[in-house]
Amino acid sequence: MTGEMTMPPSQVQTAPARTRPSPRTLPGGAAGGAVFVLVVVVTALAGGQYAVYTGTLIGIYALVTVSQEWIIGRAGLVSLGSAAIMAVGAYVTARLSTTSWSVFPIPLVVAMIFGAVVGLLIGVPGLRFRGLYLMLTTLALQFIVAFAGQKYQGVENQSGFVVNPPHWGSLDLGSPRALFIITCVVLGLVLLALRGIYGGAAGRIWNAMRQDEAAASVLGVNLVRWKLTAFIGSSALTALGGSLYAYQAGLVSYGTFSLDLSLTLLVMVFIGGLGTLVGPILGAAVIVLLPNGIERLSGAFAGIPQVADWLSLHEATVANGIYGLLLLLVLLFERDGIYGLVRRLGSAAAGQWHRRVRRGAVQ
Amino acid sequence: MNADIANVISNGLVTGCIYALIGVGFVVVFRATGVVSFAQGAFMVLGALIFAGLARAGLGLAVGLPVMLVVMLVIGGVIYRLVFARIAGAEAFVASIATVGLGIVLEVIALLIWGPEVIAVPQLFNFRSRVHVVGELNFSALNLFVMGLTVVAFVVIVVGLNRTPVGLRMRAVANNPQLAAYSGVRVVRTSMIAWGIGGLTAGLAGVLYLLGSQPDPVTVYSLGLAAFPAILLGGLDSIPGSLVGGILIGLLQAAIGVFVGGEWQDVGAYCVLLAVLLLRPQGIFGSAEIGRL
Repeated sequence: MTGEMTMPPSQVQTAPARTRPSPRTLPGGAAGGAVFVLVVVVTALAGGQYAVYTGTLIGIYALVTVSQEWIIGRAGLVSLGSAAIMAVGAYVTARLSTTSWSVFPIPLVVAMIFGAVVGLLIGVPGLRFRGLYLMLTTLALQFIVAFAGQKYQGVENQSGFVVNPPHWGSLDLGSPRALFIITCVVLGLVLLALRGIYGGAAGRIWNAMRQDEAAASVLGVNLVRWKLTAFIGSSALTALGGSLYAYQAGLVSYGTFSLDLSLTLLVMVFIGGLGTLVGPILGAAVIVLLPNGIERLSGAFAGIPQVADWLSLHEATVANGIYGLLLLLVLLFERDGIYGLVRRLGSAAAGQWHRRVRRGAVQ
Repeated sequence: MNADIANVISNGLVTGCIYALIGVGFVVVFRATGVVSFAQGAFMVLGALIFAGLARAGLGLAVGLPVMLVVMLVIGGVIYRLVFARIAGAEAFVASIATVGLGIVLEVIALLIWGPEVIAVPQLFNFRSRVHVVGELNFSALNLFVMGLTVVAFVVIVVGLNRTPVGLRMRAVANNPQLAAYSGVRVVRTSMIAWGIGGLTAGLAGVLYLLGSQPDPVTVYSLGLAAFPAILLGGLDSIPGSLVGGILIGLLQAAIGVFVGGEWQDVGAYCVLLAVLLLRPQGIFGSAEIGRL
């Protein structure tokens, strides 16, 4: 019937993929690290209850977005199942936290192993084909994990599995401040490790693959193996994020880890900016703080009750709409995300400054 | 014939027709622009809400349905022009991510305008009259209406693609956008038509789903994602595939619903999706060269 037009258009589009500068890591490494440590120490020592809680949430999401950036920004693949893999980590942590295996780092490590195994299982069918197929495979994963979680919880655990706080023997690590510090230390270690990986041969291979798969393949890169490596590593770290999430929430239920969460994580990565480690962290911070911002906004409209009421009534929907809009705008106008925008404005401002200095306007 | 089997056939065919309509719009968009659209669910919501609004205003099927179709055609085309024509040169996968954002934005707009309640629509014709076919198998008037419109939509699309100048241009763009542009085909305009058809068929699917059950917008939206197993089974780039895949998944889900339990329906469809990816990633009718590494 339509046999003569079987060639999919994506095969014939020869427009060159936008080339990016080689991946940047932390800006100047040491400087970024110093800022990170400073923020963490100040929050841990002086932050109020809200700052510590929000900081932990940002830290957890940042861990997941950084690991998703591994596959999106490095390997050029997109997963719609990050929430499902977080769920795997969270369930493992919840179950182990009530056993003798609950001593602090053990549940986290086991969660990572489970995450890696799920990544392998889902990556083998999903990665034999081009990027879009991984989206479909992980979409299936998302629904299958939610269903399995629902069945696993059964009737007696309908509201979810309780998570006992992390501990070292008799030392309880479950206070909000201790959880904040644990989250930030874990995130810091992951950032250091990823910086090492991206700076080495593996980082260059992923970079080559993302820019031109055919060329990389001709140079001897085994595409499937390297994509699978990125996907398994990123799944392990995503499950680690799920494990920390379980500790913070104290209760693990399938409803939390919905497709909406996966999409929100995806939005965080894209609006933060690909190709950097800072971008996804910024994206996580912006999206976590956004509902709060809308609340403030409805406070600012207190003089016009109609607007204020409408905003507070539709807070969640408006926040959702802003995520979607930000994602569209970033993809249309600023592919490097918020971090790219900040850098561009920064270097424009610096250029202005230098011109003024040259003209002698500044002494 | 067993009453259960008769039930499976009539329910499965109706669900399958809705999947097929979502799927055919998806396929037309995918072939013309290479974009995997995650926004079909949002177009369904818009179509259903626009139609419900017209029906509440007193317009019947004969006026309301064509008006909705035209509005959706325009919305689809305008969205392509405003959003996706700008990222035409980028990797198709970036545009596919953008459809995720687009879907969210359209759904939120619909929710803010019409609210999250069950979509109210007046009863437009007598659902209950049933047509006896053979044995226990019988269809309600609504079932026949759904199947009839699906057949009409497929005939129009297939004939349109194969027998009209617009269809010829669309096939040219699908085959090779650059060559088509060199031969004088206006690629952007043709792609707008493809996106318009995508919006129109999704809107039609949304209305047919609305007439059969009493869904709220979020339920309609998630049906757009639930159609992916059917689309992949038929083949991402095959129009007959979208019909066959839709009907097969519809029948499978109806059978699961009757013989296993309703809660297993979605997960069963997604297991089929995984199996198709493992065994025959191009689907039943898709072209083999789609994306093997």
